[in-house]
Amino acid sequence: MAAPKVAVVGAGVIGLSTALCIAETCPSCSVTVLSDQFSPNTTSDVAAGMLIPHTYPGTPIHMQKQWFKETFNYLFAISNSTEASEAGIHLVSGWQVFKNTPKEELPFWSDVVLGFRSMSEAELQKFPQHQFGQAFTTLKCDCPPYLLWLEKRLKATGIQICTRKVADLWELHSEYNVVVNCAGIGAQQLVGDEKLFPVRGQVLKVHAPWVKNFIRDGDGLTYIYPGIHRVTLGGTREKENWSLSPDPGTTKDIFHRCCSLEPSLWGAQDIEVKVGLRPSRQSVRLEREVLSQGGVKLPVVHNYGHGAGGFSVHRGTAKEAARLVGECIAALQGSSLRPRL
Amino acid sequence: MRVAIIGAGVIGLSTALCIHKQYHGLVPSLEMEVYADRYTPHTTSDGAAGLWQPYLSDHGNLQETLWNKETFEYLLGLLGSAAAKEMGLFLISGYNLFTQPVPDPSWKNIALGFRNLTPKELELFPGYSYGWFNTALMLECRSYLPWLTNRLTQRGVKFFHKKVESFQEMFAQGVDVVINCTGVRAGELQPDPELQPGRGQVIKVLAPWVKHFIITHDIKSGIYNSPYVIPGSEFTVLGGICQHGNWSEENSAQDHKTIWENCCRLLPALREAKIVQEWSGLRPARPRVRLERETLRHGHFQAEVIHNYGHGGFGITIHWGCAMAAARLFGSILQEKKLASPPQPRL
Repeated sequence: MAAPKVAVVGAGVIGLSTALCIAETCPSCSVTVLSDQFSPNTTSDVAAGMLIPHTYPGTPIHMQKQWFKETFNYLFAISNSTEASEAGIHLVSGWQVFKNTPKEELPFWSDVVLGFRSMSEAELQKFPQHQFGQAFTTLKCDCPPYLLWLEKRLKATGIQICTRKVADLWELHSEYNVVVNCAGIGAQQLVGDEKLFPVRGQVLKVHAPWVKNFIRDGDGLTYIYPGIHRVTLGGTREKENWSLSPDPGTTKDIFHRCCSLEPSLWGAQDIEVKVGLRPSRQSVRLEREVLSQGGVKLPVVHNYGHGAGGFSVHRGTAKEAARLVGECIAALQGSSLRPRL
Repeated sequence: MRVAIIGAGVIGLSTALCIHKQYHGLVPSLEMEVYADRYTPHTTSDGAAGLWQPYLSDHGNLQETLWNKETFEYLLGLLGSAAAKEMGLFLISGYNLFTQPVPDPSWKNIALGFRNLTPKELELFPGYSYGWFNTALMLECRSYLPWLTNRLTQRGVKFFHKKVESFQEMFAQGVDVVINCTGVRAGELQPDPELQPGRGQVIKVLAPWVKHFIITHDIKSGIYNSPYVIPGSEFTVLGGICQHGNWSEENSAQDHKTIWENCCRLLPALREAKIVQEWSGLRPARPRVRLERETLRHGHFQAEVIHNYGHGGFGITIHWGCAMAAARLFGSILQEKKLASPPQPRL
């Protein structure tokens, strides 16, 4: 096979980073990104992009840690380079605070982020309703900048990016040798995965440039994440809620919760409300599948279902997906060498 | 009782407020005036980034360490208040970097979450092998000075745009107590060979992705002569110049180059930052802060001066502790006047 043709469906952080990894590991591949939505209209654009992992109940911890570590190290290098501001990658320090001391005091990722330690009594005084806390420094991927930077890197490698709504993966079988499914929440319709469900998140993006530290309540519901130009205030985690319309009552509730964590936010200006549907699953679906109809086969690599943890593991899962694409291509090339009888 | 504060930088205005808050109720006839030839945004304080951080060593000057602590705790207490944003007050975390291990600073237990840097963190800063991480405060004077001015104006304090040529000039007008907060130019009112300018220059840029302060140290070149990056609420301040004895307030092209190249080497992404402003100012450097009373006698008259100047590059860091100490000195003056002045015979 001269130049294997690979289609990547989806242009959120997973689709774009997967396409980039495929280009890096398979330079002879001709890669095309197909999506009906691009930045700033993807789920990734709503997310704050904080590298604080979500724990997938169905994935072995050592694998989640590996994915996170790879992602962290990759972004760490970018944050330290001249490209940092264009890529939207920056370091941010802050606190995760708990109203009740958690059972598990050390999360699996505590030695990957920087300077992880328990908060001192003096630091906790700033959070009178919270008894325990952790301080650390991590990375943030601001979107749209990060997605736009990925698109730029992709175009530089010659990858085509096309607007197209793919209704069925099979429709690509005649044009492409391998299809990579990074459709996020769209995978529910695209491949009929009943294990995939939305977890609706509403956030506020506000102008509050004096907020330099992140604050996250350990319950995961209230968080303050300072980005380059805006601070993301969150949030909600509403299972099976498909609504993309902002709810005004929720807006007020989020704002109040965040102001009680950080009173200076009462002075925040220019509140923008956004909604995203986290593509949630017990485990990330990261595996090969072969679709076949009438003797024709189409190898597929699935890479979706990252839920609340997309940014935290995107590079690690993209690399694994690229490796699986390599396996698919090798299998295709192997079978094409078999003598026809 | 007429009190005149000379100087409207962070020291002058905060001392005025501190004294007025404490004694206005006790001294019904208290009249307070501020005299200065420069007001915000043209004071030395306005040019400073506003980071609370004392020098590396207090040289055994525990008094100054205590004033730094009082200032930090005072500001920390105001963080959750509605005034914080208007004051330009917020928390900020960041890095102090060294080329060799150094002893912990006097302020390690004052700042929040003080710790040494991990090897992974040091990878961010090639050329530096040791460092600290802590959370401190920013107090931006381009917000704080107007806030102080508003508080003072509300209290009926009067402001005069005037260069005071001598203490005598004040006393001749009927001022009872002068608070001398004239910073680097205190020598013009009373010679002080220990007071020298520590000239600084800074470049203000737009780099909103920088969320931490980064202060490097070169033990050989001395404090503030090594690059630093301090993100404010609007601009990020790049600096690293401290020239003892240089009175020039003109921006120097050579210093610009030094600051720019050193800071971009420290944080490569800064090359993409847009330069917005350049500024030079004179830190009022002195081996120690001059905070003391002086009684000036002219014939029958006895007039009181409280000196509060010479805060070098840590004026914002120490200001409230000094303001309170000055207020205590003012209190002792009041005490003496009550005790010392018998009822005047009417003629």
